[in-house]
Amino acid sequence: MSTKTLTTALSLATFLASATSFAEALPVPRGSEIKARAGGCKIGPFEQSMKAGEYNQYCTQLTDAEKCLALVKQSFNPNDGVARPAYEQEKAAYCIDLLRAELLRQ
Amino acid sequence: MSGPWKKFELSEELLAGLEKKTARKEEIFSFRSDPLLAALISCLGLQFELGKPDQDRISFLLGVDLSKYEGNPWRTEIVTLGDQIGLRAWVPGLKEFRPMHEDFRFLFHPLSISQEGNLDQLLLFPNLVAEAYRAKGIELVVVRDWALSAFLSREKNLNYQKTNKQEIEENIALTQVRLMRNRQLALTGTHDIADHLLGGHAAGLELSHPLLDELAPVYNKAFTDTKATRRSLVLSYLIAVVLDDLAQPQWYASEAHLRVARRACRHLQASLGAEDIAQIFLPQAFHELVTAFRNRSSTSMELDALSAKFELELQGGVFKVNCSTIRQAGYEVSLQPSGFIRV
Repeated sequence: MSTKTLTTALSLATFLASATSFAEALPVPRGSEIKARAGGCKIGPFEQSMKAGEYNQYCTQLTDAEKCLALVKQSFNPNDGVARPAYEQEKAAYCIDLLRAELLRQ
Repeated sequence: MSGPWKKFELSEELLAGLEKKTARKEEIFSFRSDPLLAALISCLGLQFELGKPDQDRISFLLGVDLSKYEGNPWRTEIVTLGDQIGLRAWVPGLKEFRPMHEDFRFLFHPLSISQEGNLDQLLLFPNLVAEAYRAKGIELVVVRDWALSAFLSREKNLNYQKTNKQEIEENIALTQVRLMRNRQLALTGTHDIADHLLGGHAAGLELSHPLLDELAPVYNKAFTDTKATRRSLVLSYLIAVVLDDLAQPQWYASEAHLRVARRACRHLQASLGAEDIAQIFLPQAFHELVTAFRNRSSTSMELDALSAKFELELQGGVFKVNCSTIRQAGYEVSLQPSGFIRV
């Protein structure tokens, strides 16, 4: 297993563990209501790539699944408070892997 | 064909997980609220129907005549491109699809066109489609139970394009009303594309809002305040079929549809409290009535007569009159608005 694969696997494991816990109430929309800006947070092994607005201080308290949802929502909101960064192939692929892992966990 | 997309591998375990996760979702959820999940469900629904003669509603609209092929000519795969999940579909040997509606441009990704400029494959990313339709005032959604019963559940493969008892029992009109009120359309099957999305626009859906306003108080009485009767469910199913049509561009604001729905609504209200029917069934006149309101040459009188026949058959009565025979005997025959015949 390569270092990157191992890192991803560990991140997925962290996600799986956190996903089972109750989502902590925060003064920002979470879950399916999360805003696209939160996609700028650090996700898995990928560092914060852009400003996450009001989510900046809560990035560590959001699950990767939530942040991935926000990242994909940026497709709907290209001007949702932040300029969309250059194409982030690996970050997007990670989020799709996350969905796959979540489905397999059901 | 190769390209920048990647195949999204499916497995029985993954599909089982998808079914479970979907079952826990809310009844209607939008692509905006859960884009990756909605996209995957949407792609699976389209993949499931493509090439099946009794379900596929878009092959013909793309210039693919299924009757000319032995078996299913389509090849499909779920793919990813960046943060998008999509469906790639092609027909081996077919050099170019010939879309028969301009709105297909909202559906297919530019990568569908080859370097030679031919539309030789279809790349559809549901979230991009949802974004395009949002700009037209329509929100695309997944209706959980439709997806589960049509293709996600391993146990059920309900063909929603055919009349079925489950839709009657589930009172599908309630979902239809909610979708229309919120200017929402499902995107989980070829019927959704062919009959609702192509040519669809929010203003067209809004044309049915006055009817929804009329239905609301009656539905509140029939299905909220009291336990739904079997008769109410059958009448509501007729209204559901009308509503699904009214959400299609070809039937936006159709007078015939509105007439039949209003009469069914009045009958629903009038029958509240009446003795219930013994079992759920669709009278023969139901099918005749549906055929009639989809026939643009049907007159109001014919629609009223068939509505009356439907109501009578639903009550257990018999309505068999051959007007031609009566006319041949030298009598004048006219149908009254009440549904009765004057000879």
